[in-house]
Amino acid sequence: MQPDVLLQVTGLRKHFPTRSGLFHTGSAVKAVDGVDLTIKAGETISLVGESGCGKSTTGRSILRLIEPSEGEILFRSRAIGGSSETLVNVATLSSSQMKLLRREMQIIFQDPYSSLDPRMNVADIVGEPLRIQGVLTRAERRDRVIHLLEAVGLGGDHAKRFPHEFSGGQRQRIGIARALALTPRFIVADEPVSALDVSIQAQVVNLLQDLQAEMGLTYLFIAHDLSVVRHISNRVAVMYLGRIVEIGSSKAVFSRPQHPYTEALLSAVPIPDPDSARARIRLHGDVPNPSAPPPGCPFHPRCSYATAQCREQVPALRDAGPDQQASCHRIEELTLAGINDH
Amino acid sequence: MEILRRYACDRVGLFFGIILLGFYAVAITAQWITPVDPFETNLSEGLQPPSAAHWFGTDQFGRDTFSRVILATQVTAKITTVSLLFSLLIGVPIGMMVGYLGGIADAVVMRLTDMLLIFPTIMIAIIIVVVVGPSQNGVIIALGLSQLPNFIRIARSAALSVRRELYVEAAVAAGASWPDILLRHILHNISGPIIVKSTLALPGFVIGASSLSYLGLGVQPPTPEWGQMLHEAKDFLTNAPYLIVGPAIALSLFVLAANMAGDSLNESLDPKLKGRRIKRIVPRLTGRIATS
Repeated sequence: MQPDVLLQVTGLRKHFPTRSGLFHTGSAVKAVDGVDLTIKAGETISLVGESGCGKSTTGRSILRLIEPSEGEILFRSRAIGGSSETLVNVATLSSSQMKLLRREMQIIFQDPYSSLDPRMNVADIVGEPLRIQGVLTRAERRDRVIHLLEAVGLGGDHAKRFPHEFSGGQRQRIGIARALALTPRFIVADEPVSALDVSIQAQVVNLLQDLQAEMGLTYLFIAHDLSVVRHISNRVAVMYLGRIVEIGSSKAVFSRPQHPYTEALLSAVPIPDPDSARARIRLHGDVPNPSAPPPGCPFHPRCSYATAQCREQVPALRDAGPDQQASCHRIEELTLAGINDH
Repeated sequence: MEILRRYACDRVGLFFGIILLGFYAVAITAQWITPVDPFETNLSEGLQPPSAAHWFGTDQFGRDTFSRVILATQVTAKITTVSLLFSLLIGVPIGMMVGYLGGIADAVVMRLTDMLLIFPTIMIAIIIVVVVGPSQNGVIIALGLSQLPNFIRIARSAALSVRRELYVEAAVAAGASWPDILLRHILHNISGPIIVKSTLALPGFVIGASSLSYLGLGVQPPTPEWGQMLHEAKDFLTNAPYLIVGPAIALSLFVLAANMAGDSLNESLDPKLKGRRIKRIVPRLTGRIATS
């Protein structure tokens, strides 16, 4: 593993068993089906895809909020093994080691309404990770909470209030303050702005970027809003049916997509230009049932470029340009439309 | 505070709530407020009808029924409170735990409670009293155990609905252990339904305690208990019917008050139900006037 890599995921799988009837065990829903992901320290990598493609499951599996069925999650940890950096496999850590590691990996949730306990005041919510980890005394904790609230743009006078007294954007700031309480290095942001108004989205995205610059954070940014993704990320990974179908630098993926699915996703991004003559690509049909994915390329039933080969062979993720990889048989033949910079 | 304010708006609830509190006030101070010693026998004044000296008359031994009803309030309150605590303190932690953790423990506990729920409460109580022996403690264990499944179930279902909340996941992400989550988040958020269930279960406990004592399986003489007093009074029903009045009124009023107060509490804890009971009663009354 290269020295600038913070987290490396290899062959991550999460299968949820489906059960029908009393004793008959059915097949499994392959929510995440073999994801490889390398995240460099200090970068923002976005995971995009439509609902149910497994992006949230991937993020939660990395934090072991969901137990992954298979795979290796290597993380360069400082909390485990003293001050020096130790490479640990998150997937196999014991629960006491996992508790230590949680100081370095945190999560920001999508829904700022359900993510704050309605019966706790803001000081208790933000201070909760500190209390659980037992790292500070009560007085130190209080000071730290006020410092955190100020860092996310709230005031110390908000500390004694309850979540229902805040707006969605403010609640999301509280959630961000809680994630920052343990000064983590890696944060999974699970659609952190999807539930907010567009005007508030920009504020929260900017806050996340400022905090990243200030604290040297690394983000795994899960989203479906490509405009936000384009604004915030260094690299983008596109997921379809539990797999990454394209990954690369944000610029490359947006301007020169190499996978037809990415092209379709990009064509749905609104462009603020009434004269733009871009054609919207409409995908036909639904996402296939993830417990019974189609043979060959999982995208072929909806792909307008599909050939006989696509129906039979599963394409592997391969190089498709400088700093870009895609899993498509026809990378070389196809020229796909992206979004050009203005 | 908000809940108390909303509760106070419901006049019916307020009225019966005060009566219920009154019962407990009487229960706590019973030793000091009885006009006559409830155990003092005076055979020459046996089976006296109600008078200024003896409001509810006297029983066959000349004991003052009014004083005995007051002391019985204490006995009943003690039995019901302790058995309520018994099922609450055992049932709620078990229910929360299996609800949050799920899996095999959940399945086993749920099937056990299903089995207990098949039998009528009073039948379980009788079996337990037969095993433990007729006594005050026997009644407490019997009632506590018979209500245990209800409390396990309500705590479990409440925990089930809370455990998928994101703030629980946030606590897990911060490294919280499951007992910590149960204590800090789940208990916090399920206390409402449990308080309501407790108030609504109270009349059941009272009727259970009195029924067992009436059947001679509970509180033993000479200790007074409403059911036990009714049991003694039934032998003199024809020549001293006034003996049943005191315990019967106390029992009915307590059950009614606890039910009504529990209903109001339920409504004030759940804003969605607000005022529904009033709405339910009023059209019924106006409908009756219209048809007559």
